Amino acid sequence: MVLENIFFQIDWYAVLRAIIVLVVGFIFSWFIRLALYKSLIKILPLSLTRTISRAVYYVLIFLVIITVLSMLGIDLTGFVVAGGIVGIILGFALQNTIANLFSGIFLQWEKPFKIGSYVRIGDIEGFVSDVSIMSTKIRGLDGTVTRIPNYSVFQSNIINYHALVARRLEFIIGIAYKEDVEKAYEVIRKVLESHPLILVNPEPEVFVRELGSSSVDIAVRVWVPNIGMIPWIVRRELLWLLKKAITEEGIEIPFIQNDVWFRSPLKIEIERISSKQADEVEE
Amino acid sequence: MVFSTLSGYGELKEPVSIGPCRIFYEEIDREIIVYRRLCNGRVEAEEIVSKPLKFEIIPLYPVFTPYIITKYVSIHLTQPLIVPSNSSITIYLKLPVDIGVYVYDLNGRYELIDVYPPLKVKYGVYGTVENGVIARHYISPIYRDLIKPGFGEAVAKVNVLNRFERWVKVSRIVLDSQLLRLHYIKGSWEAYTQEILFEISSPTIAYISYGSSFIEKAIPINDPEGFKPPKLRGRSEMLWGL
Repeated sequence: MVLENIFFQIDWYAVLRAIIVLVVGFIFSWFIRLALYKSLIKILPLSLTRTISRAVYYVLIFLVIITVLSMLGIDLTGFVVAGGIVGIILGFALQNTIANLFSGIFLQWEKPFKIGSYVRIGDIEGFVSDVSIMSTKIRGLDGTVTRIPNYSVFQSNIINYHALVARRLEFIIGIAYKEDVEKAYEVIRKVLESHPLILVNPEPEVFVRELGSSSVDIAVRVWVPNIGMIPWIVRRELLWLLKKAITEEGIEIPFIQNDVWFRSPLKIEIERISSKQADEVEE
Repeated sequence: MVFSTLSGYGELKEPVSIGPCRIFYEEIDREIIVYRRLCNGRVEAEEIVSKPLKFEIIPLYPVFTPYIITKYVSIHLTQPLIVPSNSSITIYLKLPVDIGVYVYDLNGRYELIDVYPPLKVKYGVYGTVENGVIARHYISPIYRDLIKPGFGEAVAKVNVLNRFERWVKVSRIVLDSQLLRLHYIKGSWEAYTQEILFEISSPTIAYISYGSSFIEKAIPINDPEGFKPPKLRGRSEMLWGL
């Protein structure tokens, strides 16, 4: 009897409407998630796309449930107020996390570097090994991995050494004033010509940069393919090849010479020793 | 060890000299063979191979040395070719090839074990350093008739078609080695590309289509595994000047 009363008290039309809204809402949310995923995957990495589409899906599901409950006549005022308070508390508690999250999204959007790029972010230098929604990992040349929160990455100056297809290297070679600069040019150009990774375009530049205090400083500017460690490998090889070629041609690379002048005359004490002592010293 | 001078691509049966290099293999036992390449008295390549059927010397795309850093080959013409509007002309150009050494097993499966560049290797940027690409750099004269390629060279037949309404100056052709197919004649140093269509659509843009072989006797090389992705389209573009 009681059950029968309850059965007749329920507004079955409202329940049906709520079920229809629930089903349609779920299907709609699922389609929105799919559409968002398909469009974002073209511009964002997989992990970020998955996170965003999933977050949007859950928000929509939450709204659908709220709508359905209100259709069934359940009072949600207290729930909304409590939700608001929880939201404010979470907002304060997760301030840094949210800042990192949004910085991560902006970084993915702006793409200042790619995984594998050699970068300097603030004081940290190395290869980008991972870019996640919250942080960026940098693998240093010494084998260390630094995790930088995305908010810090976003706020820092970023130098991307791998942004262009070629990179310029510069060397300064000092030769003695007595040497023939034209001959030095010829020797340097021959070395540059023989190295396969010195690009012909943009052309290498060789010129006297400065008349230094003890040498004529020749600048050598070359472009190399900006792939992996190639700039570093070329720098390491070329400097030695240039030194070797210049020395082999008999061109003097001077070292800095200083004349030391003493304000007051120096007193030198000469100690005379016997021939026997001299023999001992020689031995 | 006696070294004979190799006269062309094909199976490596005895120790041979190629330019400043010497190529040979030594049997350690019945199952192990050591392949070596000595250049200017220095061992530049050494591979220990188990149960090889044969070694073969073939021409390779000129993008393997010293590392694979590009797939493009930029052929600069010694003098620019000025092509009138809506007209075509056939020319022959030379491009470099690297010398590759394959080892084959009993099932006919092969593996690239050595690459040696017989000509000087240089690279350059095609386009700007911001947006361009690195390309193997080579300078070739323009030939009107089919010529015989020398050691370390291949010949490309290029049909230049100017679809633009004005004269266009062509000073280089950039080829994509993943779309190229090298062909060679066994027992000689002759290597050829396919017939190439160079379609000019503006003074700075051209499209390059890769056709079929133009030398009957020439056979295609076995492409190194993993070098070429599945072929989606048979043409490449030149977008940063001709």
